[in-house]
Amino acid sequence: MNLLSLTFRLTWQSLMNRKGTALLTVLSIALSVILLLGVEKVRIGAKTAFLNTISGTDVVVGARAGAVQLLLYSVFRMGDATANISWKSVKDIEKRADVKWVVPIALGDSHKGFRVMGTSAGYFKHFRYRRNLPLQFQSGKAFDDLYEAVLGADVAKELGYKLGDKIVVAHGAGRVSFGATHKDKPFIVSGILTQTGTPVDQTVHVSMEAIEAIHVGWEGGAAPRGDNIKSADAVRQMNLEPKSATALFVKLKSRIATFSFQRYVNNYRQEPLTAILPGVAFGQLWSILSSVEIALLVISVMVVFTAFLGMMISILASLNERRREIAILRSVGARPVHIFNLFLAEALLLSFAGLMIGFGTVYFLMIFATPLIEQATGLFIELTYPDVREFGLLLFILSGGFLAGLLPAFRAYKTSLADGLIIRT
Amino acid sequence: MNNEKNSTEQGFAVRMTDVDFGWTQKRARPKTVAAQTSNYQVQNPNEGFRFQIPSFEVKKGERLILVGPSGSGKSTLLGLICGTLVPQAGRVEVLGEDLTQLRSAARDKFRGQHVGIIFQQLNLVPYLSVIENVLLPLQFSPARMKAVGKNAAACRSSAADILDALDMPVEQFGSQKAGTLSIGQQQRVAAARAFIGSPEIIIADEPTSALDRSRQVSFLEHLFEQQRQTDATLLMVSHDETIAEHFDRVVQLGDICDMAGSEGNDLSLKHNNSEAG
Repeated sequence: MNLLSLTFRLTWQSLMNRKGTALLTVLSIALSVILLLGVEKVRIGAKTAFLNTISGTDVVVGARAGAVQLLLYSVFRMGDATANISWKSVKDIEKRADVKWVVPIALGDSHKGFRVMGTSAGYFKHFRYRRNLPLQFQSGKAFDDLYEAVLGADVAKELGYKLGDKIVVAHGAGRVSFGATHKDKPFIVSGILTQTGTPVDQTVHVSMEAIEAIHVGWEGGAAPRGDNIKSADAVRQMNLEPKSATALFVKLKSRIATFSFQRYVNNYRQEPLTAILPGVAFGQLWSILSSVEIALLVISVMVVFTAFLGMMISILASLNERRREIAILRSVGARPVHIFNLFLAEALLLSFAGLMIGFGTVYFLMIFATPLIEQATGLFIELTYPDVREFGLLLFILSGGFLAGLLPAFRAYKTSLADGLIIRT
Repeated sequence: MNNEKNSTEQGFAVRMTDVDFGWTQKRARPKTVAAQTSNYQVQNPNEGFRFQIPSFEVKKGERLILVGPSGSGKSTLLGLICGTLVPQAGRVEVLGEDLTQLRSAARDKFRGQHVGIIFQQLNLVPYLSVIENVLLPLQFSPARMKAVGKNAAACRSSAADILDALDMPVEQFGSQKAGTLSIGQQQRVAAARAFIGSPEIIIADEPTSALDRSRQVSFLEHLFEQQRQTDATLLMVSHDETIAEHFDRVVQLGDICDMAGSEGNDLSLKHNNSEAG
């Protein structure tokens, strides 16, 4: 025990005698730890944010399609649906005893590159993201009138909209509308949602009836002409019950009913439908991105490896100028194994210091940078206690430091044997 | 135990007899003698170096100086007595213990316990304070620590006494980093480190060569005073014969050894490596 404390004491004092080099080595290790741990945190944050894009919804229903495709267009507003769900089918599903609520969505139009989504008022009440967080308004309220719209945070921010502003919806989902717009039926901004870090931020929300209203006369797929043109007020008097929906978010009364409900939808005889469990589909979608995860991890590990290579070179480089020190220690009774331990302890101390600084820096930055990152990118990185995986990474880094210390320690051991008490140059 | 008894009875600190070494030879197992180094020979076939000591003895409490020019094998001889070099044949007995029969770790332990060493220069660990340098041997040798009292206060007190005696008052120099001292001061601290815990043998490898004449005399006076107090055996190596008059006995290295070629440092390196296990 005495020798162990002596070893670490001598190592510490020796390092203090070479503060500059030691500090640079520690910093390079700390930076690599910051990168490794930072990448890990962002990866987990991104994955969590991705998986939590929608929560509180048990099943997503759409026209017959693959699970990932349905997830992409219904939740991420990416791509288009192959077909719509008839409103009768929506009503059939809504009527089921095991269904708690249904939120329909209708996609297809856009506003300056942002998707316009028709939905019911229940969307703002039931939709949840991250860990069961409801949507909140930073200003205004949900749409009440037929021609009112609720903007996602990014839409309002990027386009500089505020409450009461008028917006015109373009026909089609493309970034460029080629002049096909619903300019005769403009919407007034009634509410702006707070940032969620999900595709909700980039969506313009209107009512399902409003989607019907702006498409009156567009049944042929082209802008109405002549008598087919109906004014905004005239449309108000018409029956605007939706004819179809792009997808449905469904909450069941009991999760136990999930699979029987899914079976019911998948076997629905009136039209081909698909029901997916969001969690499962998210898993499938994320697995597509796993190679990116691995690439990030490999790059981070390579950086750690480089840092330890630097440490090893630094200790090896100091070996020659420390031969006198080794000889002195040998003269007072230190065995070659003590010299080995001294150099190994040095590698461990440098690694440990780098590890602690890196670890502390990541958590310190998280405290202050998390809100800024969320504000800037919408990516929410949750500040949590280190988990088993992080402790595993710490152990991996320390083991790396230990291994990197073995070669200099062995060289010092051999040098101590070769030199004995007399330095030979 | 028998060796030690013989050594004590005969009063030898170091004894070398009937030693004959060569790289192609297997190590001989000579008869047990008390304190001796016998017929020591080192040979490096690649460089043609050969080093033999038929017989060499140092009595306990003796102040002996080994004189010889540079490259005459002084350092190799000290390496043998310290146990960092091991001959292939013959005996190197120190305080009755045949070092050639000990394993590497046991030789290191023996050296830490019984031998204090002063180098020519750069004797101290520069980043340690004066007091830490002096206390260093006690950390590696429980026996020497026990000799001064075993607890930290006793160790510091003993170090302070020796430093004071060597004109390095601990109040003034104790916490000073060794690297900031003058050469002369460093040599005195090195002497204090060698004497702490009262090792039986003090080996000094040209400790005065970096000092001017007046400091040489002053250092030697301090060294002898400590040696008298502890009754240690003092074995000094030097190429400077002018200081020989201060010693009980002067030995010309050429008189005790036969050597061909330059000093076999490479040889000792190879040999020592073979002992590492």
